[in-house]
Amino acid sequence: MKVKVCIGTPCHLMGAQNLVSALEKYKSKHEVELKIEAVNCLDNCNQAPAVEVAGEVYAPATPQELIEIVKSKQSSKK
Amino acid sequence: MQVDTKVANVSKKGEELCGDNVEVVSNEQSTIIVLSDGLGSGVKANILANLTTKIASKLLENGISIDEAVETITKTLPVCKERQLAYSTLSVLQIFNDGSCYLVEIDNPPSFFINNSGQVSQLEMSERQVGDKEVREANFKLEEGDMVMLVSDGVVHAGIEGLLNFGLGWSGINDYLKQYLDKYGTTPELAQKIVDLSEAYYCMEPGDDTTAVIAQFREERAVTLFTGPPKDEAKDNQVVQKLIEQGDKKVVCGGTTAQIVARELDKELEVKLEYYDQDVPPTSEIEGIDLVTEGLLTLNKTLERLEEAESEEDLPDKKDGATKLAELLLTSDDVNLLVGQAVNSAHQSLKLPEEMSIRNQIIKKLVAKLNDKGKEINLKWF
Repeated sequence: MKVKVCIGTPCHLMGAQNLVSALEKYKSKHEVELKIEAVNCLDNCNQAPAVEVAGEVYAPATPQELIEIVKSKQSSKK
Repeated sequence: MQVDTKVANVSKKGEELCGDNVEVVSNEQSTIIVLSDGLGSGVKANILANLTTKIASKLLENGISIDEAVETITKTLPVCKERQLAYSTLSVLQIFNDGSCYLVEIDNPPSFFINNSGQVSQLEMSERQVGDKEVREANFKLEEGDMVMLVSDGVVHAGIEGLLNFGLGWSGINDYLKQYLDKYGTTPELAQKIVDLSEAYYCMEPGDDTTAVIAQFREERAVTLFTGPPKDEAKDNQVVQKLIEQGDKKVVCGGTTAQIVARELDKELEVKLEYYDQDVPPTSEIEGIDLVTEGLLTLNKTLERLEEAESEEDLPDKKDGATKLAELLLTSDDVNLLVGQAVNSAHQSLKLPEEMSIRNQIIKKLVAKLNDKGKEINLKWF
């Protein structure tokens, strides 16, 4: 599964860096198939930080929320 | 064309003022470097040397011949009461934009010619008499990267009353210079090494004022920076072409701007994940562009870096976008800025008028800062 994290100016200010590290931690801890990518803009600046999980754009407010989204996406895939 | 100079000196032990003086002046045609060693040491010598370099550089800058300059200096210098003498030495190096050079030496040690592959030699000079002074002259041509080192006698006498009986001499300095060139490459910074070496041979108590100055001739370095999407989308292509057609270093600042460049060039835009600094978003890569960074935060941090650093050596040893950009700006002579004025709705919740937008503010500050540092700025709005 591919997760794109926007690192544009608003997303950076709203904590994109924490989302990246949370994803990396989750990936190594649970040994899941996860491709983490940084992108410049997901056209969702007003709701920053923006991420795209398996093709869909979300605006999680915290790293925990993002991990929840990733988890639910993974289980729905199974 | 550009001339980089580095001056290094150390005063005779116990003296606050250096009795050697170096003056560097540039005008549109040439750069003139003048080195003078005033008689004696301390205040008196300092005044003599200062007068000599100031008079010589001013006269030569205005196209007056060396003969007249020497005559003026001889007649102007105040006479020393004890020695009944008005005396100072003089070396003048004039480097023209095409690399041709004129070197004059009066009573100074022979200068060192260092070519761009690090070979050191003594220049062939012709001698003639001007008044009661013996003048040595040479005309030659510098290639890209060639250097000339002028020294005062404190350098070739290094070691007298210190480690040696008769001083290092020209050939002794030459040997060390070759070692330094092997180790550090051809850089004007070697002037400092030579003065440090001399001081060491004097056992840290220099018996004379000691000065070395190195001038390096090199191509002008330019960087072109594109930031902010143009107001009119139809201009995207035109601005990207402007960025690409320059032979210099190319920088793109801004996520959307980077997307525009990648789209117009039909190249992949690869965004890095590594954070080297908490405050600076990661950089990206586009083939053919030297540096791709985020926009406003990076530019703001770059401004901070520029405020803290006099030259590229003062920058922190970091790999974040702001430090890299500051380094590129500091090592360039000309900075071309292509600034788009489209308003990013996400940044602009305050609905500021155009000329007060965040980007305009940062660019204005950046231009002022770079002007302070002597860079040639060419700013275009789109």
